[in-house]
Amino acid sequence: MNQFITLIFYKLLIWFRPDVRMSFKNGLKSVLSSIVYLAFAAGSFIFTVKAIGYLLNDLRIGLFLLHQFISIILFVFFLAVNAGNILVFYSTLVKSGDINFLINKPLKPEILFTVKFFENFFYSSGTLIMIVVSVYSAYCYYFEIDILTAALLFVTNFFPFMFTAGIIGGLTLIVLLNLSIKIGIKSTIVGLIALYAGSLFVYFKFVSPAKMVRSVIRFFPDVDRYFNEAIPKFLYLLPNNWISEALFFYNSGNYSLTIQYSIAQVLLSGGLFIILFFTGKHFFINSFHKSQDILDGIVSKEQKGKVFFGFENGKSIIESLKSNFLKREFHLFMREPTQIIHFTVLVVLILIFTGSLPGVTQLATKNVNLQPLIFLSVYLFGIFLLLTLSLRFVFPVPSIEGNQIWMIKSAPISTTKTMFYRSIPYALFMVLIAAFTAIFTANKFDNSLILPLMLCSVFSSIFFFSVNFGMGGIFINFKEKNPIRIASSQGATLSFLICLVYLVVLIIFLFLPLNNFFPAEGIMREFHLKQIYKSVFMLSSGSIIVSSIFYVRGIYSLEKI
Amino acid sequence: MLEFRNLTKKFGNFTAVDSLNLTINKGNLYGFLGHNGAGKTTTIKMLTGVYAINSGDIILDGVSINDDINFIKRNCGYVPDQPYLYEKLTGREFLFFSGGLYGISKIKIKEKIDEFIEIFKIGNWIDKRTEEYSQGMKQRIAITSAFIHDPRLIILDEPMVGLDPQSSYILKQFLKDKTDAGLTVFMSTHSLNVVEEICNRVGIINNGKLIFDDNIQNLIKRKTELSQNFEELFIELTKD
Repeated sequence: MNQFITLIFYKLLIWFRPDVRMSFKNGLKSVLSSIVYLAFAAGSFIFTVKAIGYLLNDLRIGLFLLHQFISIILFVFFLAVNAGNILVFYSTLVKSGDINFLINKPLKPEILFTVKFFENFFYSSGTLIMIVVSVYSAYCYYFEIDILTAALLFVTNFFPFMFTAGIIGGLTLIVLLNLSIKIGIKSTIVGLIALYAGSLFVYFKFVSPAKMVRSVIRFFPDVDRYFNEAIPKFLYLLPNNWISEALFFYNSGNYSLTIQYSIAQVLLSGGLFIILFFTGKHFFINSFHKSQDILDGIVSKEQKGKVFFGFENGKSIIESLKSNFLKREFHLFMREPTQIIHFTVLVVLILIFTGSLPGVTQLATKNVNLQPLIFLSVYLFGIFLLLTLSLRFVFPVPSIEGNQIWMIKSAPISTTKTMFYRSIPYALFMVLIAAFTAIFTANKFDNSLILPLMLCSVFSSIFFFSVNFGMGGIFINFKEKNPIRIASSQGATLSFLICLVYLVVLIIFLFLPLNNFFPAEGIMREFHLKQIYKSVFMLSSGSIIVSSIFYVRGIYSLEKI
Repeated sequence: MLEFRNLTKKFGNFTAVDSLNLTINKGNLYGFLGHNGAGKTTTIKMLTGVYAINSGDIILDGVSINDDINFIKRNCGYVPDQPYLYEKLTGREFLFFSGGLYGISKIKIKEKIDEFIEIFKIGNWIDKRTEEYSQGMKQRIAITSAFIHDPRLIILDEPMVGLDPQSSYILKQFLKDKTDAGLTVFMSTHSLNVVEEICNRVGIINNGKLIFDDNIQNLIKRKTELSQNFEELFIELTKD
């Protein structure tokens, strides 16, 4: 117990101690960070209240459908927390200096494993917890749930739900480490990606929002009652559904069912925690050793013959300085397993997203009132994927220069130019993905939306790229070598929130013209299309100005090193 | 008191440590030499529990690592080649943290810290965050933390790297004093001068195999017989 207390005490001390020594500049940075956090919390609060109001009062989808949509969002959220925990847990449990320090101390494996799990859970889920708190507060405000009950429902539903996602992530990692010894790293990674893609596919195969809306809307206006028949039976086994059911029944006055679901949620996470504890006791050390064998036993293949995009390759269409940096960026990226794994996961997500568009648009064709909302949701999801991509891959770019920065600093080249060349491939890739997702989305709804929405996506991607690059420069950390941890740091969280604020602005600009565009016909449709162009123009102009500020600020930070 | 029996470590088809047999007695300052990739750090990582052993055994005071790895961890102090310190903690906090992991009382840790402040001249730095430390200062704190629980065995992986002449001198004197008092030290190093200066026993590992294991006097004798300096003898011994 003493060991546990010592570990927890010092981990908390490290956690709460500020990153850097206090100075006016750092103080200002902290104040501005707090303002962004508060603005984000307030923004998402207001947005959620308005969105619930719109769905219930304007679209009149009813309490049941609202909570089913919440359930779907929570499922995706569960997978996000789960995947995030696996990736960050891998870097903290297997590769960190901290674990190498602690592993040779006489600690009980279950204590070490559990403490590392907690550390990882709060580190990787911190931002998501904040988002949940903010959105959940708005939900409670809308439904006039008093603070005490709201807190109780949060502690007995949302927290164990996220905890369950994290624990499953921890357990999955142990299974993966053992599996990779048996079937190889590549097969394990492919299996993991297939598992996530499969889960999403199966879930949306059975939980069809279109079917659900159809089965409920028949009973309009009696849409607030519980539609047992609209819910696939397997959903009752999933904790995301338990939360939506608990909230639904609370708002319907059936408190006993709310309590039952809350108890189930707590028992599930408690039971899983016990399993996690005993997994730590019996399997952690063995799994750790296996992971070290994999990591330290990897012998890279000798690079013989002509390497694709190799440094020695002859003529290049671009001058040598640029091509050298592009080549370096390419090879370092391709040879870093964590980069490739995460990148593949995100690309698969984008493919799943574009692949699932026909199903969603089918729902939109049935109800003209839902079209703007569905279109905007789908479009925003694509934009959100862009945001995730840029946060994960662009934010760490300045930091992963690491100790090699001396090479650039001591060479007769400018840091600005170097960083510019390094950032080109990321920016180009982001723009391409943006155009691709926008074309696919708009094409499924209305061809005339392709051009304005593509422009909007492209400028959004430039915004995300610049903000993340700039913030990556401002919050540069050469000591951290792991890009995943850099992308989960305080600066990255802040960057993420700024991008989310941009998303809210984007909704504000696009919602009204889209809302008018879809039901309109003939000349009025063209008029509203022009309004969409106008909104896109204003949004793009603003985003270009903000992007330039962030990009220049980021470069300035790098110049000053 | 420390014994390696047929110790073997493989990574796939590559054998990093091959049937290592070695006995280090109490009070020995054992210099473990070998060129880069010879198997020194792998051996140390097995001894400290970072790597699992493929076959063979490590025995400390009659207790096998396979039976009770925590016995070895409790009785060893380890200073890796790249010591890890928590940057947001001060040196003093780090030492309290480290001692706490061994279940040492706070009073005992405080006494130990006071003792090491004198020995390693860390008084001016101990209450500053470790992120401000130089490599040498980090090394001094890491060494102090390895001694905080009065271990029977100290494992040092390249301890002289990054140390200035003063720190290096202090450490060498300290290790000599401690081994005279009965502590056992297992030290991997590239520095042949350090081995000649302070070690009383030397082992040389090459391609995972122990190719030399004798006391320092015999090594010096051999060097003199062959009219070679230490460097030349080492190259001669480790020639493939």
